[in-house]
Amino acid sequence: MSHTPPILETNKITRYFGGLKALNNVTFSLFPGEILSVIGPNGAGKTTLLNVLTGFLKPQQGSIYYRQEEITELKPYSIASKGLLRTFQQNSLFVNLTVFQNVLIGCHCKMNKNSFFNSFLNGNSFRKEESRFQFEAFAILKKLDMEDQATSLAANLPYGDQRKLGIAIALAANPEILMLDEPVCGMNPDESKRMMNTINELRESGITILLVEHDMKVVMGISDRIVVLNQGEKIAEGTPQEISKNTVVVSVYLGDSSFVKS
Amino acid sequence: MGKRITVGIFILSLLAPIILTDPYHRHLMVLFCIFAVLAISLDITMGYLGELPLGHAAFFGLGAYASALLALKLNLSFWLALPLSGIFTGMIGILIGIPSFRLKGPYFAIVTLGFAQIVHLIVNNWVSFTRGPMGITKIPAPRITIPYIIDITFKSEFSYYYICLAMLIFSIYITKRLINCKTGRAILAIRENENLALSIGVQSYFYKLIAFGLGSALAGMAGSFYAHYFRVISPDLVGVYYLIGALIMVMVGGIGSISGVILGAFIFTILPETLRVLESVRLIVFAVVLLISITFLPAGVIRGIESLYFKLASIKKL
Amino acid sequence: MPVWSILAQQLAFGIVNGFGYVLLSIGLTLIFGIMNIINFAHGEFYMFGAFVTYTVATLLNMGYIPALILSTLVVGIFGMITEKISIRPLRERHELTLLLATLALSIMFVDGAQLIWDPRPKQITNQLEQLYVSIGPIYLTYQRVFIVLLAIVLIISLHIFLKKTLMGKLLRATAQNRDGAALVGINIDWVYNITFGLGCALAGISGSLLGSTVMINPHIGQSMVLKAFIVVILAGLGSIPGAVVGGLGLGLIEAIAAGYVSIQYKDLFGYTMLIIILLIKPSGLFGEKKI
Repeated sequence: MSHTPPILETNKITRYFGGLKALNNVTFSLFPGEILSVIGPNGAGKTTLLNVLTGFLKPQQGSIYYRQEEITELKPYSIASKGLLRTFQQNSLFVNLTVFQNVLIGCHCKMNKNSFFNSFLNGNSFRKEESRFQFEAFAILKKLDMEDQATSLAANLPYGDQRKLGIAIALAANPEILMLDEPVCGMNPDESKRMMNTINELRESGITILLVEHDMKVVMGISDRIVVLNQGEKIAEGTPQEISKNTVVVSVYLGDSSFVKS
Repeated sequence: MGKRITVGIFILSLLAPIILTDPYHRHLMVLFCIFAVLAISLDITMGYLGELPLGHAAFFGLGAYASALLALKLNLSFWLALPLSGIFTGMIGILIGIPSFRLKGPYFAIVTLGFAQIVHLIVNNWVSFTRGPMGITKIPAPRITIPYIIDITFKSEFSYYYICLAMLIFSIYITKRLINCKTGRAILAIRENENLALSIGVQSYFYKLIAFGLGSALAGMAGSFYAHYFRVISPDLVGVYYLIGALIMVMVGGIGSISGVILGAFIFTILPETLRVLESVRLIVFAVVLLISITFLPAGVIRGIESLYFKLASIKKL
Repeated sequence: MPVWSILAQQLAFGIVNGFGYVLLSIGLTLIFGIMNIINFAHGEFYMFGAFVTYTVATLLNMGYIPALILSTLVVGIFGMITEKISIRPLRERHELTLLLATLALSIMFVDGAQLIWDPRPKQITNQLEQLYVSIGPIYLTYQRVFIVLLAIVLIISLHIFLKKTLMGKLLRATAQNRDGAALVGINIDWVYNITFGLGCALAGISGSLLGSTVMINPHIGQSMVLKAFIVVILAGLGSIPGAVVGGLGLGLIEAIAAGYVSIQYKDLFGYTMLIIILLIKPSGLFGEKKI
């Protein structure tokens, strides 16, 4: 894996908020086809990193490269259209729309012939594209076992299904890299296990995954590599085995019982 | 809301001025069509994009003035003035939208109101061009002339109603086509969760401008219809009355629903008539209606009717 | 008269108006800062302040100062009643719903005022308008000096009230964290009611003060509320020092515009200023997107 070029690289990312350094010189690489987890105690900067990688925040210093192309200054929608998708931990859905509508919106980037003008004319090519994407959206729902809930309102879904829907929306946009923000947060062990399987299946289908997560069981069980952040700095990077033996990491987590338990 | 009901309403709307021959009723029908287009135009920004454009009334007045001035100063026929004034107000809408959409929610509302005030100031004070408070008179009625074949002037309520109805049907069609395509879905996505929309590749700024531009263009065309019907216009058209009216139509009728806002337009047209007695307090009554509707019927009358309809339908099945 | 003395006179008028804007804007920003409500009817409380003063001073012939005091109380209490009846039921709703509700109230108030007092312009009887003082080349009515002095007193009193008194601390606590405040036992309903009343009272005072310098009619609130919004948005919603700077700034800019450009279009400058600032600072005024 270290012989293939990284699909995503960050170089000395630094991000301040006022006087506080949320991220300090963070450098790491993401390789195609792997599952990389970013872990760290609360306030370590994990979500900030995710926001910076996907264009929602600009780093004051440092750069990000996607397939050797610099994306540091790009807007979130440009980054998304290149194939870098993410989910949100909170406020992650289009709440007043149905499950199906949620996923259909995810197809936005791929739609070319569905513009307003074409809709107005309502010709054959428009209608064909529309049914094609409706079919694709439904297929994604099926893949995630959600086809029965297609007409439910997103707001009415049980919590675990809401997180799944968030992933379904990102999937619809045809990601090369999928960044998941605490996908098993608030789930019971059963749901977590199913989510882990889903994530593995996504990787099998060719998507590179970056996972921001707290749940050590999931992280240790599923990651190829792990990056550990603490107070905005990268303090370790390596395989799950290497990380679990890393004394610096262990000491940082001694206050956080979730690490010790696994 | 049921294909049969839609067809029924359509046939009814075609026959309405034939059934009700009183010129006053026909006048109300014309007003209804114009207001319905205005309501639909506001709902594109309010219901689908989820922002409150308090400056919306400006586009209605602007379209009226543009159309009137095009017809009087450049001698253009209504059939040219109408789309041109729509394009003009659409472009102004986009120009206003470019700075305004840097903001959201109440700030967006206030900034657009500020723009509307500027428009009102200019229309009221640029006397050499717009005749200021004196308004514009003798606006020509629409006319179709083909020598030896047709010569129709759309002066009467009866004839004018049908071209307004055509405009209304066009507006409904455009709005429906908008919602069922990539652009419309992007607009809804922005309303629901702009960050999520950005994260899947929706260029939110662009789509906000499209929605706003379309809404202003439609409002402008409604204004054009108004101008060539009443054939007299004044700076009041850019004022509070039509803003409140449009807001009532959307909020009372049903925000985000085409049939809702049309129902709202119907209520708004009929309401002043049932309140003939209370002419002087008309605005207060409007405002009270708006307030009551906001407090007790947030989704509008149409949702009440729809749930009643479904309840009755399910009772029938038993 | 030399040119610079005309300029000085204009600027003096601008400062006087500016202080009026400051009081009005502080009222608006308090309501926003503590209750998170954009009060679109704020201009109408300004108008009511002017009209109640008119009623007491001119129609009842009771003298200006009693009229000012009475009208402040009346407008403040009316604000509290309005909050209880119309705004409190909508508190949990979307902020745009509240905006629409205050817009509806604004219409009701304007038209109501037109019915109570007719639409023709009126003049508030005010002895302070009759006497002049001259400071160098500038002539100011006593009223205008009074406006500046009273405004300064009120601003300082408000500062002390918010920072030092118990009630002021309750208001600030609620502004910072409403749920937290409720949890420690602060009566939010009561805090909101008082805040709204206070904000409206300030608007009313502004109306009484500035209203004496011009002819008043039921529509004067409508352009004032936009000025207040301009000040408050530029200064930062919730910031009282910002409201002071912004209010005075707007007053001065308008004075210069009226003197050197055109009286008809002077309002245009405020709106244009707002739009230009927004263009220059694209992230609005409240920092970057927050997730």
